[in-house]
Amino acid sequence: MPLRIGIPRALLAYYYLPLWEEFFVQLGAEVIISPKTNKELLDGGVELAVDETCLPVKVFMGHVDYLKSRADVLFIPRIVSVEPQKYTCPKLLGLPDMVKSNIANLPVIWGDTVNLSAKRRDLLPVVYRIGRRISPNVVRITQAFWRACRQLRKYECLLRRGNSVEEAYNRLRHRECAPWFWTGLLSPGPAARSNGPSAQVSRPAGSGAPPITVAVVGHAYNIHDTYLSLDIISCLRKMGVNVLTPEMMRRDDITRAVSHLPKQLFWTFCQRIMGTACHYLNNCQQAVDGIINIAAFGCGPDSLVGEMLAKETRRRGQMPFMLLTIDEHTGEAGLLTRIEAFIDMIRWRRQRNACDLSPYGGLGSNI
Amino acid sequence: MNVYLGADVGSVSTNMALVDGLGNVLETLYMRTQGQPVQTVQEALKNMAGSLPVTAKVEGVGTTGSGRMLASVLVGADAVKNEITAHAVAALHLVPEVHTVLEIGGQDSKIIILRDGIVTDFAMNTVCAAGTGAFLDQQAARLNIPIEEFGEHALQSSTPVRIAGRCAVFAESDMIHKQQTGHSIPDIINGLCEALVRNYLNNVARGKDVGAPIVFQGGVAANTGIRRAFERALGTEVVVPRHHGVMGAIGAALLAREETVRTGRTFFRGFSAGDLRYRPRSFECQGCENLCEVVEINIEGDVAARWGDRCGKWNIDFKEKLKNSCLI
Repeated sequence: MPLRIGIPRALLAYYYLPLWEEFFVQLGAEVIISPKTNKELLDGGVELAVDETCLPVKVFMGHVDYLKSRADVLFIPRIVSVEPQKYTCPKLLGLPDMVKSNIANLPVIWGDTVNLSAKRRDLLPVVYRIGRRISPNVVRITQAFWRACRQLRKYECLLRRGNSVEEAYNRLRHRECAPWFWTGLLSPGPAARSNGPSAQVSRPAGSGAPPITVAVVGHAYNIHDTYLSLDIISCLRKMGVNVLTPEMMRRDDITRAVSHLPKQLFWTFCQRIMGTACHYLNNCQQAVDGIINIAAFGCGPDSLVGEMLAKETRRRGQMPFMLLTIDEHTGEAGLLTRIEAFIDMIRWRRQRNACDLSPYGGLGSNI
Repeated sequence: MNVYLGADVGSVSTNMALVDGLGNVLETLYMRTQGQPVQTVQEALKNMAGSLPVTAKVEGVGTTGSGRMLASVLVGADAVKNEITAHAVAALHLVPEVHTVLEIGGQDSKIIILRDGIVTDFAMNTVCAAGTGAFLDQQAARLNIPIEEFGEHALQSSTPVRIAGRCAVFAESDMIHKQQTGHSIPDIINGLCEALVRNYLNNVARGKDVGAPIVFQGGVAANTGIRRAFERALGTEVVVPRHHGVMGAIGAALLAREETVRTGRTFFRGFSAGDLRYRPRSFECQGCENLCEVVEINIEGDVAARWGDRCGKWNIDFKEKLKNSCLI
């Protein structure tokens, strides 16, 4: 019977799940992934986690709790850094320890440290160390890792094309990406062609006016967790709004966008959030109509980045900006009211710019 | 005469406003919701029918407020809008040059910044309802002062008393403490008004570009003590419009006017909707782990609308339903 490896569908899995899954599957293990976050997982996690942790960590605990009786091994790496001179959030650094001290009756935990702050190649020893636990064959491990990396590149390519995490993951599983992936390698993607948005999202056919585009910036595990974020992406798309997220950005656009900051952010994922917002603030005031920042209640880095973003936006003047904080008590009504009002504000402004004579910019119609 | 009806179903009050084709406010109504939005909306409809001008014909209805979905099914609304847009529209209509809208309602407080007649920024209270109408109501009841006179008492204050306004619970203990040490009631009420304004400006209005002309609306705007505290803190005059308590309803009516002018039809059920038998019920969908709480509205035994599910399998839009029944 193959080894059953459990991967919680939470936190960094939103960035790296295809890599991990493919690696273990190629080595012949069975991978068990927890389901999408739901009420039960959230409630379970809130009960297990210490009070001071942020919402996504609480959710993570719920996912671990779900998996603990279903898998032989839980893969909860201690990811310290994923790129030179940058780090992840302190709560991710302590994740395996937090899991061990908060949840009882755990199976074996693979909490290997991944620290690429010196050089990216430091990943390889970790890969072989983990791989050898499943297969002694070094060639097989190398091959599995190579295939997993390819899978991750495909996944990131799908994200850059405007898919949400869920869509990208499903497309990848159904091998829908192959032709896209290769064309993406041969010809520069839409992002490279224009200075505009890095992605185009299909949208319901509406009136002739160009659709509203909103950049939703925040951690992937908040925005793309359809339960936590109350599915803000679908919600906005249903209103006919084009949604862009940091995962849809090209990395060099992000680096360039934050180069003006006096001090670089040392959290990788916060830099992506900041960079995405700054990219649109700097060059492409036309490309997006507004920025929504989703922050998790209790997230330290988010509270700093949110403040910095608000300041940057104010400094440049015109861009509509809204901060939404989500927590386990977030009511759909309050969130919807704010999103609706935000989109109304953008519509209103657009109609005014187009010199529409209707007094409230056609806001009477429901969205 | 064409008139448009707006309904603002909030946590504490249910308001209605009747606006004519030119945007003049003809009739307003303010009622307490008292936790029974269905009955209150029906009651309000009956009252409005009584005060309707003889020649008037309702050409459109709009709803807003936290109960806007429910109310939209009850009355058959053409426009269903969030309260931020509705308040901004109403403020602009009555004070066209408005720059800042301060709105404090039963459990919500918001700030809306406008430039050249459009909304440029807004914020709503997030986790804390300190300083909203519901808290003032409670304190007025505790001090045995009718809420209508609460502000007047604040104006009689001679010595400032500092109350901690960060949290409603602590504000109350602070007030009791000040009472026990012998401060006069007007001073304490004035201190409370100032604390709430301080809390509002530090939380809801934090980082916002508050500029004159400033319009103060919502139920709490009736409180002259709060208004004066705002004027002192901001150093400028604060305008309280005549219909400050029903601005949301006026905004909804104006939005309904725009919507029906565009579509040329209304879904209004008529004032007789006040006599229909509505039966709201809710159930927990067992279809998946999300356990969505689905709300269903029955009218005369017939399912009129359903919402609250995330996947949309229970969803019934009352407009679609009405349209279909018209076709048959």
